[in-house]
Amino acid sequence: MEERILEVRDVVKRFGGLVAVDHVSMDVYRGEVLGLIGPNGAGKTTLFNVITGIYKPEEGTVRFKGMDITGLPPHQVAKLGIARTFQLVRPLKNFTVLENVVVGALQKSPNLGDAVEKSLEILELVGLYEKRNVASGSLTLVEKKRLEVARALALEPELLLLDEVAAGLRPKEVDALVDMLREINKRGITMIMVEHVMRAVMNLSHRIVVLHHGRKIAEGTPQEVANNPQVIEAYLGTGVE
Amino acid sequence: MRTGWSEIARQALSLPVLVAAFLLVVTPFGLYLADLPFIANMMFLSLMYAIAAMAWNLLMGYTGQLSIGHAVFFGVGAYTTMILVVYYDVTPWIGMFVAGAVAALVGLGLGVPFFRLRSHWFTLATIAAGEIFKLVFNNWEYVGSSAGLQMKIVPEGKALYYLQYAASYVYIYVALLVLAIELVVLYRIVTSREGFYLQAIREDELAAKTLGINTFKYKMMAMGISAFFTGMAGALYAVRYHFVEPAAVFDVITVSTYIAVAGIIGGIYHFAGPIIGSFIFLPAAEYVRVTIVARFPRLFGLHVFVLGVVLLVVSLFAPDGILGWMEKRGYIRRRRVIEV
Repeated sequence: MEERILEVRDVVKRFGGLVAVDHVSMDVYRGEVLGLIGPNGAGKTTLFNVITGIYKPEEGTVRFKGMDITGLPPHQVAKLGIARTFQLVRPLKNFTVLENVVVGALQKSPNLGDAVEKSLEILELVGLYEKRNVASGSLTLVEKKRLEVARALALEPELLLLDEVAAGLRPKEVDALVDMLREINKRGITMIMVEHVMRAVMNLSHRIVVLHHGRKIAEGTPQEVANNPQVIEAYLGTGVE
Repeated sequence: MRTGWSEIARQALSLPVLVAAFLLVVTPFGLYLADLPFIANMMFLSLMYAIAAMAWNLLMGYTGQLSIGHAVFFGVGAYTTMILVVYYDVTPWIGMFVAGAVAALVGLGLGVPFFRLRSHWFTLATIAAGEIFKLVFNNWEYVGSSAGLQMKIVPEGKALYYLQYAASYVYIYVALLVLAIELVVLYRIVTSREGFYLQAIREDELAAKTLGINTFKYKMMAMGISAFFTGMAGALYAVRYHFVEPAAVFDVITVSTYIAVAGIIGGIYHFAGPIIGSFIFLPAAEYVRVTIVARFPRLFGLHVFVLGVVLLVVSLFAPDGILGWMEKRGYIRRRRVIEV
């Protein structure tokens, strides 16, 4: 088998009485795109927050490249090579598009000139080069989503967590985004994508993990998951007798 | 990324800066020759508040942390200078820098618990800190409790050592010296990688964290430097008036709030905003206080009411401060960290 880049073991995250993530385990292999799907409130974003150090899990461990990173603060997780985007975009509004990306790029650059050069390349890749000197607060939603990806890429991550990057986009925009993400994956970046837009997940993912009420209920190729009766039930409910 | 000395020299030698510096250096002596002590005092106060407001703005305008408790650092700085000179005979020339250092330590000490709080909760904690420090100093016998500490009058030959001069313009030059040091330090910080990170924290702290920035570390750095120079402003107060008392140096209105208002009126998103704000707000405040108190001696506090109205008008018509308003009109532009 290939190298496991991320190992999630028996992770539990509670909020008061609510168990948001309930003994979830999963592996992510280097180079793959793993889709993480499930109905609203399934615990997908919470799991992202546990992996990236925003939440500390009550139980379980997260290992990245064999190293235990459970409970490390977010900035350390980011420096180790795990970057993420946010479902609700969080651009640094008064910064220009370029400045947003440079913040990330500076982490791995010896000086500003180097960081700017790298950032401009990334902006070219995500199609925001022309907008580089625009205040990021004035971008459209599609552009803000692309900026989220650009900023994450600037950290030169080995693992990229995408939280609903396709949500709210029109079908054509989704296709363009999928092309872009495939290109990024080809460059050797492993991805986990939380996504409701099936057109995006089914197209990109090598494997899919399904969460429901905080539990993992299925795992497999897109076809296997799409035909899994438990998954269908989770999404559509049980049929009328 | 850090600005080199040549760049600082280039900025410092630009025409508007030179003109402003020339006026600042010539004016005090002119005021002395023209015998205008009231105006000289206004100028000293403006400079003292400019130093504190510039320091305050490193936290507010650059890092996004609103403090209404900078009286803590101002007061600690004033008392440190006074204790050193009264009890240990240490010259204020050294005492001022020790005052900054002690204030910085207090700032770092408060930063550890306070930076666990966000936005308005942080602000509330700073207000509380100011009041707590005032209470403690009011009841601390070593520092003279509520009566405060007073510097003894020294013979003229020792004026330089104790920084005691009858002519107030001397203190203006001391304040100018401190402001000059502060401007160089702050300019280097805000144009560095660290300054860029501070602004990222201001924009969105969680996003900054996930971009690999240790936000706690950088907020502590901003707090330490901010407290240092606010402490030095407090030291200038002690040096200038030879007297400190808790009610004056830990005051939530005339210290904590005035510092913030000066910064806001000038414009928190511009480097020089707090200086401009101080030179407008402090003379206005002093003028209003003196004339109104003289005309309506029985209506205690009326001047604060008038200042409140002034602040309200500025907030309504120039919410981003005077420099923000000028930027919107296209008279000036904000300096971007990166332009390609």
